[in-house]
Formats: sequence, structure tokens, C-alpha cells
Amino acid sequence: MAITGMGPVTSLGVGLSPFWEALKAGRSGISRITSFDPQNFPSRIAGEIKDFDPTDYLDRKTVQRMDRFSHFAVAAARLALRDAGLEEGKELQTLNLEPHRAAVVVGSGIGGMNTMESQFKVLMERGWSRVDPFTIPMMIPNMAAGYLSILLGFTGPNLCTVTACAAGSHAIGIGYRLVSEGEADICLAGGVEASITPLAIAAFCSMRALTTRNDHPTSASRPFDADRDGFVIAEGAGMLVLESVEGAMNRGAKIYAELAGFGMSSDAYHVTAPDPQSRGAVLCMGEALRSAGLAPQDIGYVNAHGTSTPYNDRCETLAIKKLFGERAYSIPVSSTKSMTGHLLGAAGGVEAIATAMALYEGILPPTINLEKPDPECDLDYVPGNARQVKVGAALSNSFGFGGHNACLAMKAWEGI
Amino acid sequence: MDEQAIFERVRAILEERLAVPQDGITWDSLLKEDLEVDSLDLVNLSMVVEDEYGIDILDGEAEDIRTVGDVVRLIKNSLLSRDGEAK
Repeated sequence: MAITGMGPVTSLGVGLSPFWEALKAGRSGISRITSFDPQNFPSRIAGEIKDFDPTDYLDRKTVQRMDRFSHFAVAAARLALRDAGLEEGKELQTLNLEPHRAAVVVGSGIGGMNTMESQFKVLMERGWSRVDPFTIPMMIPNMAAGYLSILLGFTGPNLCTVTACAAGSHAIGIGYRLVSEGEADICLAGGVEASITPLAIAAFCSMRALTTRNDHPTSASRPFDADRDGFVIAEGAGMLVLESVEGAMNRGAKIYAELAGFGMSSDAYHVTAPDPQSRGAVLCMGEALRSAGLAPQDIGYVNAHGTSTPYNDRCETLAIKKLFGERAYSIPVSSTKSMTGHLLGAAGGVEAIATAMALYEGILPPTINLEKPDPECDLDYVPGNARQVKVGAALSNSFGFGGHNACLAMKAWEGI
Repeated sequence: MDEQAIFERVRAILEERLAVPQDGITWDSLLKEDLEVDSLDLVNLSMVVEDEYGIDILDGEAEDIRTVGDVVRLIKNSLLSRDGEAK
């Protein structure tokens, strides 16, 4: 399966080039929240996208009918399709496809949180009759995928994965299966999230999940560091164009990397805490390898879930050690969340893009802010600076509340 | 209130709230066919109009609306009956 187009929408940059340049430079996209006054919250920073104008991608009427998360999804999808060399409005023609051969799978952890909060306020203050009739269609998480099919005319399988912070990777994995199994010839797949809202921040703070390093936003996300104190919430989207290698070659498309396998598992352990023995994470990475026909020794890079929470980073490290044994110490593992923050349901989409670019350019993005490693986190996390290494295959991990685990396996594209 | 003033206001609301370009809106414009105002937009339009004019539009009344002129007449009649009741 070929990855032929990629559209990241993040606080580090909108579009592949600014996003990837920022990751290679080790820049942080974290700053103080401006969409509301965060002063009374313990966590006041985020990977917030400050200069995004949805009317660059949509007409004003459609913009008004959509939640911010759908705006991000449309922007990321348009960028990905353009990157794949598909002219806007002529995607199916260029691909020479019947509409039902084109699929869309978009994951989201929460969906239209902004809409839910603002309309709940309307309900409380003014009663039911003033609640916006678009509340439900704006709020439901599947609407990003629904809108993309309406806008693009893709009438094939259309799905939404809702598996918390694994939603983006699950969406790409399901897209991979749809194309592999012949249900579609092309799939637009990825994740999206827009949950930097008062209720979401309050709720994550209440769980003690978010960092409180408010005075130093750019160094607050510090995966695997001994002083990490929670994740930094972020928003955005990451969408990918997936098509068969044969189809991509026939139309002369650029191939960034091969999406070679997908693994899923469940911790069956706890609603939010990872299994301290990391059984679910080991299982899903192993499944990804198996489905890709890869052996552990083929893997040269792991894009970690690496949230910068005390639990995740320790348990993910253990999982990598259990799967790879002694070799774990010589495999570069990095967390791009150190720069992007945690995009929740969009994380898998954005990180699949980072992983594909690492394979395409032979440059591994770093884990920034890793200054004093946690003694239990003792792998090679590519600290500080990007590293030039030609790698043959890589994994991208995503783990979500509920114990949902997803892992994507990719191979560097070497041609046929 | 004169109908032309209500028409101008409805036209402005259609532009502000439903992103319908003002210059394409005439008295006889069909909401659905010409202006792409769907049933949910119509609910939105009713809410704004109710708040602005202090009237109640029943769901059954809104269902009969086809043109911009129908909206204007509905508002005018609602205002008249409201003021009639007040007297």
C-alpha cells in the first residue's frame, strides 16, 4: 500500500513542508491558550493553531455549519489530495475511478466539543428553542468523514473510528485494510481533533493528566524525561492518501512510504491507566509486524505514542523492550509529541505523516526537552536533534483511553 | 411595520446568519431552490426572526414558507396578530 499524499494541520505548521521542517528543526508548537481565558485552570498551554482560516478551504456557509474539528479535517484532506497530485474537484477523474471505489476513514476522540459546550450554554441560559438546529450534525465525531464524502463525492466505505488517542491510527489501519481487501482503490484516512475547550481542559486537569509547566510552554512536553508531569493538549488533523502501489505507479504518483501492516489490541485492564506489564502494547506492535511480514530486526525506528505522562512513557518503554529484547537499546525511538503536543484522536494521523517522512528522507525527528532521562526510560529516544539515518522499516504507536492500542508498520519505498 | 423594511432586514439576516449573498435575494427568491436554504437553515432563520421581532413562529407556519416574500408576510402577520392581542 502506497502513501502518496499527506496533509498535516498542526500548531507547528499547516501543510507538509512547514510541519516537517519544524519537526526536523526540533521546534515546539506549544504556547499559551488564546481561544478562551485559561487563567483559572491548572494547565494553560496547548498546541493551539492560531492562524487558521477555514474559508481558505470551504465556503462561508459550510464553515458556519461545521465544528472546528471538521474544518481541520477538510483542510488536512485538501492538503493531502493536493500533495498526492490530485487537482481539487477532479480527484476521481484523475484517478480514473468510479466514486464508490473511493473510501474515507477519519478518526476523532471527541468530535465537536466546541459546539457541545457553546450549545449547552445556550440551553441553560435561553432554553431548548434557541439551541442551534445544527448542534447534532456539528458535534457527532463521524461528521468529518461524512462531510469529506459530500465535498469530494467519494461514495465508497465511509467510517469514523472513535478510540480516544488511538483513533487516528485505527482510521489509517482500517483504511489500509479496506484497500488491501479490495473494498476500495483509494482511501483518505487519518485523524482529527479540536478539543482545546474549557470543559475538556477542566476534565483532563481533573484527572491530573495535563502538564502544569505553564511558565515554560515550549519545554512542557518532555516525553521520557524524569521531570515530565503530564501531556500538553493539542489540536489539528493529519490525513493521508492511501492507494495500491500498482495504482500509484500507474499514475506516476510520488510514493512517500509503504504502509505495510497494522496491528490492534486491547489492554483489557483499566479505563485510563496502561497495563503495567504492557501486554496490550506488545501484542499490537507484534501484530503490526506480523501483518507486514516484518521481523523485529527489520525495524529501524519507532515513532512512540510518548505522551509525556509518567505512566505511558514508562509502559511504552517496557513494551518496546519486551518486543525487541536486547535490540531495543539500539533502535531509535522518538516522540514527536515533544514538539506537537498531544493531538488526541488526530495524533495517529500526524505521527503517521512524521513516520512516513522519516522513511522518505532518512531523517528521524527528535524527542525534544529530554534532558534528564527517567531511569525507567533508558532507550535511545533521539534526544534534542534530528538524526540522519536511512531506515528500512518503522512502527508508529498509538494507545487510547479504554485500552485501545493501534500500531502501523511502514517500509521505506525502494521502488520495484 | 412596512413590508419593504422587513424585507431588507430578512435579506441582511440571510446574509449574516446563513451566508446567502444579499445581491441574489429578491422578493420572489425560492428559499430552497434559489438560495439553498434547507430545513435546518429555516429553523435557524425562524429563531433569529423570533428574537428580533418578539414573535412566535409555529413549526406548521414555517413549513409553508417557500419564498423570501413568504417570510416577510409571515413576520408582518405575526406582528399584526401580536399587536392585536396586546390591544
